[in-house]
Amino acid sequence: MPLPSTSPSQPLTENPVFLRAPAALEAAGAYDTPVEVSVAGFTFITLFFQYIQGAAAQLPGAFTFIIESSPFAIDPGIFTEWYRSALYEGGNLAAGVDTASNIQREDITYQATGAVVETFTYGPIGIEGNIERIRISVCESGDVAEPGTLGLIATLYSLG
Amino acid sequence: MPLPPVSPSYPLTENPVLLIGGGNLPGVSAEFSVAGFTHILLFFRYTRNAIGIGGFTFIIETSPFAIDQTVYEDWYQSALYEAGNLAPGSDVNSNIQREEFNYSSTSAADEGFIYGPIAIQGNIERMRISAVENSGGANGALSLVAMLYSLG
Repeated sequence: MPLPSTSPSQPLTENPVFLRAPAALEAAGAYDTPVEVSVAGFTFITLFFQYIQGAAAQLPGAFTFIIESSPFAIDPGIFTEWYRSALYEGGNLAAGVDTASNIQREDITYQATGAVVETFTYGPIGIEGNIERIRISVCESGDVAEPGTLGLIATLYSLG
Repeated sequence: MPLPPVSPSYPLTENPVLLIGGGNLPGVSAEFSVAGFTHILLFFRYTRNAIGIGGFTFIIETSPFAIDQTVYEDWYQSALYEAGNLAPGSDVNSNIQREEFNYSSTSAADEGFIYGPIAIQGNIERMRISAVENSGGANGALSLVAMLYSLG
């Protein structure tokens, strides 16, 4: 059985959250093994990326990340533990006809614009206090033969 | 070790925040604490000096750290996200890239405008804003003021 949610009264994770110390991405474009972090009780998360392409990159460096969340504080056993964020697109609405909209899992890519360290933020992402854990996987998606170096920090906050 | 954020109990910065003082560009605002605040609104006033159309470009940077670090970078630029084309049966690849903002004058008079409110949701520590003339002509004059507030 999963532990009961600790939200909303006791957010336990301290800011800032060090999700990935700056280090080379995995070889051959493989996703790394992400660190999971408790976000129970928090309503927003902001991500801070720092990336530099591989020193010997022949192609523009880039990386791709996916965001996964879990409604469970611990592995639930029967149910799947991790769920990816997804993109929703409303279908074309016409009077008198039900609408078919689409949703698919999403990954997000950043491509380097130079050979120096580049930093940017993503979010705040509204998590509205109703998930237990988050993890973010990253991989080199530009010059996969010469992976870049990536660091990742998050900050959490509660409103309301 | 970084200091813990002072948010959410003690937002310390007083409004209005005077960021760039009205001199000729380029301008780099002093960094300022936004810990504990949920929104920021920017007030720009620009007067061109260039013949013809003057203009400026600004970037917004934030820091998750109250003080400078050694291992991690201190400042992170805001970025623009664009959703990928969604097709049933395929995962979607979306894009994100760092963003800068351009403003072009419409007259030789002072021109003021606002940008925001930008939701910062209380989970960043510091901000700074940099601006440069982008017209290729003489540098215009810029002032920048910010207002911070908290909701929730």
